Amino acid sequence: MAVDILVVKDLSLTLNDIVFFKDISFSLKLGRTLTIIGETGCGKSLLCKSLVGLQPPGFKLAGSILFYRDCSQAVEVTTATERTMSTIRGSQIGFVFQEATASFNPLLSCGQQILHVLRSQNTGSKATLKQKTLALLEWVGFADARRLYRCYPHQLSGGMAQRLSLALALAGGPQILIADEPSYALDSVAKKEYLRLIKDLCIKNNLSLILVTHDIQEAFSYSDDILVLYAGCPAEILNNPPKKVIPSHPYTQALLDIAKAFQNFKLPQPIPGEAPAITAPPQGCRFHPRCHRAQPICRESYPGKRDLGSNHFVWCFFPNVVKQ
Amino acid sequence: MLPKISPILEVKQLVVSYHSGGGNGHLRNDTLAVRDISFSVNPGESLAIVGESGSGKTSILMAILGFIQPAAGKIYFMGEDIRQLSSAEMIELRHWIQPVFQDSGASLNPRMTIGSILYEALRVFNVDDNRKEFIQKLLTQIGLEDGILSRYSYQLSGGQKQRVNLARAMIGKPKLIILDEPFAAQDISNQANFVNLLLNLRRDFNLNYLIVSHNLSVIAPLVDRILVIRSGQYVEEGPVAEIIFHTTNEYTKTLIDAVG
Repeated sequence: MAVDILVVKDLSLTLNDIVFFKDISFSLKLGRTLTIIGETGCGKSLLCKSLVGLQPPGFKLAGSILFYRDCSQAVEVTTATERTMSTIRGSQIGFVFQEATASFNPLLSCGQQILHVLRSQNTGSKATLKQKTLALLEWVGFADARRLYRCYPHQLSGGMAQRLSLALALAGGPQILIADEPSYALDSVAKKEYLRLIKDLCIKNNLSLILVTHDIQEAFSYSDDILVLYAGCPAEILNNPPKKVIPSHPYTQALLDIAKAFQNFKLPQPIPGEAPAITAPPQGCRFHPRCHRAQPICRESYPGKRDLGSNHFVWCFFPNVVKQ
Repeated sequence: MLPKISPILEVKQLVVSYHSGGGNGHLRNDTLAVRDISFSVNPGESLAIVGESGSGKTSILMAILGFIQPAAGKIYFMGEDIRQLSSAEMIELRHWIQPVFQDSGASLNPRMTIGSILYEALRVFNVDDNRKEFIQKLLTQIGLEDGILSRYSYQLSGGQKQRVNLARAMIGKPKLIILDEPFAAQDISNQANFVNLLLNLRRDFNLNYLIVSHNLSVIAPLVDRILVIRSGQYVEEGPVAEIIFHTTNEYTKTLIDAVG
């Protein structure tokens, strides 16, 4: 049985009356992949940043995030000092940002960017650190690592920038890798290759991965556990989903139907309306204005967590409980 | 014998190249972005140009819109050679051929309300209809609410910005709408909404689309034919079903496999 490395309980992020996300609970196990899916603006990125204490200043983070450093010593992220967190970020929890090019220093060559991280973590001779940098560049798929070492970020294509950003995240030797829509700016071919690379590196190094995406097919192909978010609230959690999963929440089902239609080159049935603004969410279940199963109770009350068994949880009054 | 249909857009042996270097004694370096590409869009038909990033898709669109000068080749729009047109004639032509750019946020002036942006297009295109009624009808067709007119682009979601861009393009009652990676920055549910919207507009207004995308799965329900290009070169062209289900080309197969 794999050990827990990150345990999140009843996490919420608020600013005055605005709730950016709430009720978030999950546990990430060593060497496993958790995918967070949801539409743009549902709070995925804010959640990831909050996991490493990088929520915007003034925002109130409540609940608990327990990070098991080296699988033993527990650190409570929500109350940890900035000093403690700065020793965790980069070296224990690596981050691949959505916009890779914005996470580089444009004045440093690609090799120097990585050296910079290595120097802050290790004490090794100049030659050893350079060797390590070249090895990292090769790891992330750069065949000509020596040439890339001297290149500057502006000389890279989108796909190369993403791979460099992965090398930077791995340079600190983290236990957890958080990848926030890492394939966002890539074309379909590059996207598939890049996700495969991340997954392979995580398996090889026994890393735990938190992958954020809006692509449900991607989630099912690459993860062990799935958390579906809608407008800052959890909709469904699937642990160890079987290959042919039947989601219970109408939102997850709608996303999966769209993805399947696209995969078969067919016209998808859209979800009516748009996701609500986080500043003005609807009363009751946040998905009810777009839901074909909505009943009066969905407008009035917020649905609580329902356990469907086999580590499957759903936040819906009328879930689809058909099981494969 | 069937009468010959004259295409709305005809591109013949298009070559686009970019220059770099050449200063301070350095050698001038020419990069061929598009090499000898030919295709046409017939009335009532829509075409997608598909390829990976950097394959020259956007360069073809820029050449058609007259934003860059091609190194060689001819571009005919409704029978007119657009490279021979004066700038006044080119402005006239833009009534009929409208672009929707990839970065929908960057295409909207941040200092103007959405209302001013749309009314500006009405002025430019000299639309004589009752302007208020025209805008309201257009917003309904595009699936936007009236309230959006008093808002600024930063207050809109990605999907709404994309729709405003499309609404602006529709004001001149164009024959051809050119869409550059319209689905790139959208999440899957927005993609589904936007594909359905484009398809309805195509049917209701008899529009022709020229779409550039790297994503075969999203554009397949929307167009009649697909042109596949790689590194600026022609790979293959054919009806959607032919390309997707019966291709024998290895590169096209890679693009199709990337979907699953």
